[in-house]
Order: sequence, then C-alpha cells, then structure tokens
Amino acid sequence: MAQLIPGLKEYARPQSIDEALGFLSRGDVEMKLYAGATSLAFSRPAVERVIDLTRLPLSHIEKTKEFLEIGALTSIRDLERHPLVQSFCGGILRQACDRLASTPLRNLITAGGNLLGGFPWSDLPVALLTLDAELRIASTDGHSERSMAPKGAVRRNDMIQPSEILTGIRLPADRAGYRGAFIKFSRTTVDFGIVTAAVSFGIDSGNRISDPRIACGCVTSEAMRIPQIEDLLSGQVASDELFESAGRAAAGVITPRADTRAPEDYRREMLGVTLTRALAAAWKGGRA
Amino acid sequence: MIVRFTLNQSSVQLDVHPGDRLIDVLRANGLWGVKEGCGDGNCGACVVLLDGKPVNSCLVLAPRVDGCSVVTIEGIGSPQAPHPIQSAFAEHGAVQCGFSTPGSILSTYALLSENPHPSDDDIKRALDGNLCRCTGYVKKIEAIRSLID
Ligand SMILES: Cc1cc2nc3c(=O)[nH]c(=O)nc-3n(C[C@H](O)[C@H](O)[C@H](O)COP(=O)(O)OP(=O)(O)OC[C@H]3O[C@@H](n4cnc5c(N)ncnc54)[C@H](O)[C@@H]3O)c2cc1C
Ligand code: FES
Repeated sequence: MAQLIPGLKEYARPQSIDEALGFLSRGDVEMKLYAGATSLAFSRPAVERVIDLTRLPLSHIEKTKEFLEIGALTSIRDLERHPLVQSFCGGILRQACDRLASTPLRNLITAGGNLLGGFPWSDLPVALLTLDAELRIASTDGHSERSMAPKGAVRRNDMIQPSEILTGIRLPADRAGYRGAFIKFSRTTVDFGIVTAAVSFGIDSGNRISDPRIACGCVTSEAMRIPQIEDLLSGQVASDELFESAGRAAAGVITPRADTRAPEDYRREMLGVTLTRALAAAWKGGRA
Repeated sequence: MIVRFTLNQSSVQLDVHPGDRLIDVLRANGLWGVKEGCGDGNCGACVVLLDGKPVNSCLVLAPRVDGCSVVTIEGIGSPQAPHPIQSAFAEHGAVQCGFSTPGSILSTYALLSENPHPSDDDIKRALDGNLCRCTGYVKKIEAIRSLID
C-alpha cells in the first residue's frame, strides 16, 4: 500500500490544546499540524510526525458583546449554516463558504486551515480581510491575540509561527450591522475562483459610505485589501455609477497573475466587474 | 499503529501505517465500493460517511478515524437487499458505468438523513462533489426526486 507520507512515523491525536503544544514544543523531529488535512495530498510534507488537531474542542461559533468568534476547527459546512453568520455583515461569511470547494470537502476543510493554508484560491480569507479579523493564538507562552493582516494582505508568516496553534478567529461586532458581500467568479460552482471580491461598509444618514473595506482574492498570489478603492469610496454617496467607477479603478491598480484558468487581461477585467457587483450586492442586500 | 473505529456498524480494529490513506485501508479490507478516481479531492468517487457526513476518503489519513464511525456503500445495502436509494438509482438509469455511483448514493443518503424534502437546488448542492464522467446528472436528480415525492 502506497503511503501519502512514506516517512511518517507518528500520528498524534492530542485531546487538548496543551497536549498539542506539548508535541509541538518537543522539537525532536520534523512535524506538521493538520486540521482538515485537505492540503496534505497537495503538499506531501516530509515529516515524521503529524499532529491531528481534529479532537481539540475548537469547533465553536460564539457571540459576545464585542466579538463573533469562530473556532479554528469549525468546518466550512458548519460555518456556512450557523445561525449567527447568516446576517453578520450582510451574510458575507455564508457567501464566502457557499462555493468554497464541494460538499464533502466543506465537511473536511476548517476555517483555520482555509485561512492559514496560504493558497491564492482560498475564499474565506478574502471575506475576513473586510471584517478586521483578529487571530487567537496559543503557544507555550500562553494565549494571545493579533491582527490577521497587519500589512493588508494575507501572509502566513504574519499570522502564525511554527510553534503556535490558531485557536480562533475573532470578528469585532461593530461590523455586524454593516453592509457586506462576497462574490466568487469561477468557471463552475466547485472550481477555484478566477477572481473573488469582498466588501463591507457602513452607510450614514445621507447614504454616504463610511469605513469601507475592499478586498480581492485569486487575482495575485495573495488575498489583499485595496486601500486606493477604500479611499475612493469613503464619504461618497452610494450609487451604481460610484460602484462602476470603483471597479474600473481597481482594475487599474492591481497587476493580476495569469494561470491556466485565465490570462492577465481577463482577470483584470473581471476584477473590475466582480468588485462592482459585490458593491451593488452589499448595497442592495443591506436595503432589503 | 492500531486504529479502532466503527465500520459499517461493526467495531473493527486495524493495524495501519500512520501515513495510510483511509481509501486504501478500506479497499484492502475488501470494501471495493470505495473507488479512486483522482486521489486529490476533486471527483468524489471515494466518498464515505465519516460520523454521518460525506468526506473524500482519499484525503483522510486512516488514524484520523480512530473512535469514529465510517460507512461505505457496502454498509448501506447489498445486492440482495438494496437500500431504497440504490433501487431508485437503478430504476431511473442513474447508474451508467457505475464508478461514481457509490459516492453519489452516500452523498444522497447524508442529504436525505438531514433533509427528507430537499429542493432541486439542495440536491444539486449535496451532489456537487460527485463528478460523473458519463454526465448522468439529471437521472440522479430524477432518482432522488422519486424518493421524496
Ligand atoms: C480539490 C480541492 C478544491 C478546493 N477548492 C477550494 C476553493 O475553491 N476555495 C477554497 O477556499 N479552498 C479550496 N480548497 C481548500 C484549500 O485548498 C485547502 O486545502 C484548505 O483550505 C485547507 O484547510 P484544512 O482545514 O484542510 O487545513 P489543513 O490542510 O489541515 O492545514 C493547512 C495548513 O494550515 C495549518 N493549520 C491548519 N489549522 C491550523 C491551526 N489551527 N493552527 C496552526 N496551523 C494550522 C497546517 O499546518 C497547514 O500548513 C480546495 C481543496 C481541494 C482538495
Ligand atoms: S478519489 Fe478522492 S476525490 Fe477523487
């Protein structure tokens, strides 16, 4: 029988965060943490120990006064169906999970693994960028919090170190009532995106946009916020024309990558279109 | 290493290598209804139910299922006593070459256990991870609809 990781000697199944940290801190052999482990077949790391996090009690979704907290081990399928995410910021998280891979994969893929996997096609991080997400981290030094994307882009090294475990993703409650939308443009419902766009913003009494967050994914090698478009929208009265000009401007500030799914020009064009659609969807969804 | 789990309603104890995939361990134990199409999570031919939920067994390492329940197509029905979903697929011609059928039936089983009256959209979504190279998608929907009408 061929093994997925032939050199693997030990499969650890810690029951608690402390036990998992204990394995990590041993430093005796090459090792890797896994949550849904759906990236394993793709990456096939040469490790001797796998630490399976699926038994840790981290599949919660909870609301406090200040935060909505998503446990790192929450499956994408449980996340998308949870009552607390349905209306949070226009349902942006549900929309981000909606076409994230297929049903059997959504049962395996975890919120934390999708965020930390570092793939250009990951859907959830794009939505999280517009929600000012904070990460809850456990290490042998204790628990701490940090911003998910201090540089406005999703970078693994800013999020986590090899000695740490992500325990949860916290979303500040002040954006819960904002308008928001995530749109994935892809060839089929289960394919990787060609372009994804996420937006969230507040609306003041004069229909002016406040505090906008604009992000895109699949366009370059990392999901990122687009500060130029946030500046362009801030304080402006919401309208279809404004959303179209924002889309056009986004296409002008980003240099997309090309791959087998789409060449550079097509991605650039579709970034503008997808962003315009996301802004309109957030605006209209919020009004309904 | 030893892995203990419930396989098709029976307790089993298997000696596996920590890097073995669940799909290989199941097939090595005679459960040939678990098919390998792509081996990388794209096709769904390898779908089994893990604690009642469909998952791609080509992406699951065998030790992960310790203490869990695993159901394969063999645990749903037999040629002598097929499950109503299996009969409906056969009657509606929703089986062509048959390779993707076990995974599709297990996804259907999970869907109907959770939602006995799914809409067409619910059905399409529940089967979105089960690719059929014969392109027999409509007949699967007809078969499932016959079970809920
Ligand atoms: C065929 C296929 C199609 C896919 N399509 C899409 C798609 O369209 N959109 C999309 O967004 N995704 C898609 N994915 C999923 C994506 O490619 C990754 O496989 C997935 O996001 C990884 O999540 P996971 O929970 O399985 O993480 P794992 O594979 O378990 O881990 C991923 C990485 O994160 C680390 N890690 C995980 N959890 C923690 C934690 N709590 N603390 C510290 N480190 C941790 C691991 O060490 C590893 O490096 C697809 C996957 C497949 C196989
Ligand atoms: S063989 Fe597992 S998804 Fe194709």
